[in-house]
Amino acid sequence: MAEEKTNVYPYRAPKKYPKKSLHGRPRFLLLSYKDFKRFQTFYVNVFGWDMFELPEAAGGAKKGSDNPSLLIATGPSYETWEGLNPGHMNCMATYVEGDLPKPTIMAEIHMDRPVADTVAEMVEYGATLVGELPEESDGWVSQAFIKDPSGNDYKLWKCPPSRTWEEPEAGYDKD
Amino acid sequence: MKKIYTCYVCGFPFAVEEDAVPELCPSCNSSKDNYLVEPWNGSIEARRIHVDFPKPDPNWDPMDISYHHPKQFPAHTRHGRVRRFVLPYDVDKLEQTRAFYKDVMDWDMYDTEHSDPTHPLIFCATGPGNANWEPKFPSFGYGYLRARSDDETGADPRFVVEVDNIEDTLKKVVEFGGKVLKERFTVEGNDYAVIQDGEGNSMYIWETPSTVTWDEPESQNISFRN
Repeated sequence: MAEEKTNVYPYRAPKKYPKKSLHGRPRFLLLSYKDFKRFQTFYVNVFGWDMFELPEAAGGAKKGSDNPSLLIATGPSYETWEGLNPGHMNCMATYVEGDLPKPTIMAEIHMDRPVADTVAEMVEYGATLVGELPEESDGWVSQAFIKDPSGNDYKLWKCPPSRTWEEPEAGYDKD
Repeated sequence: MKKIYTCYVCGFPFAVEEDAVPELCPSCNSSKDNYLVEPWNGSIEARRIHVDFPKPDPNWDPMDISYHHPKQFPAHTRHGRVRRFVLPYDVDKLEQTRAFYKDVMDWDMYDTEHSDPTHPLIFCATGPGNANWEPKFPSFGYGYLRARSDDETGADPRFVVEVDNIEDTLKKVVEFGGKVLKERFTVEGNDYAVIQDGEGNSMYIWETPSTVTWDEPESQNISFRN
């Protein structure tokens, strides 16, 4: 397919991503709150966000908690609460005690290699591991926390092998 | 023995050993009574059980956080969508930070046209995109690397939410317990303001540019799968 013409700087399209991989994509914005009702009232009314209680198996709090973890649709999304139209990120929000951490991102990393290998490469480039590496199993959550070379905290997430590659978000440059 | 379980409520399929079946659906939190079971036959893609997907409920109470299909978002507006992340960098770590995202995270990036090359505002494509530097596939974001020293608010805003109108949004921000940290300003031809929610999270709001045609993939409002 011919490239569209564009007048957007830098006058070229972004590079192609031909691998069957979502490595490097910031998949969710991570927010924190101290008062659930205040948080919910603000975002539902100001931005029209839709929220659902994130299951514990996906990293959420216990079902029915007074301080639930939330998966948030900030734009058009489908039944798994992943975005369905391109161009926006959905959010996860969790209750915190003490100081509110900065909002950050959860980026997806290589599915086909151990988290430890990906983190080791990041450390070579000046990142720092925060806390421990996960014990990897067939479970649902395999994650690590790092600081980038400028000290920004963010979360790395390795998708479990349940990905079917039929999901709308699992697209890559096939042409 | 490994089997494939498909949740009748949300349609999510997953494969686990029988003795490791979760009590609640990992995707929607429904009880395991809702699982439809079939033998493992080599891959999830080869499963034979598929359930109809749920649809948005126009009468859903937006304060109810139990499982439901996300709402139908309205047409011809991108109000409320989280459109960009913003990560600050230290100017003395600029090249190291750039190399990290380019080489390890595999991002494509450019310094925006009018920014100072000694502390550029860097726009990042983090995955497949269209010619207008918007993501081609859903559920991930593009964003900016911004010099830490270029934040005049001191609040270090970390993401960008698109809105229909800045002033209308600022009124609502205050009404619902937030603060206005910086009124309307322009960067690279786009209008922004900086706000904080009642918790203390800071963010940019970005007014939908007048050049939007509503034909762009990122302007659509398809809100469920068929």
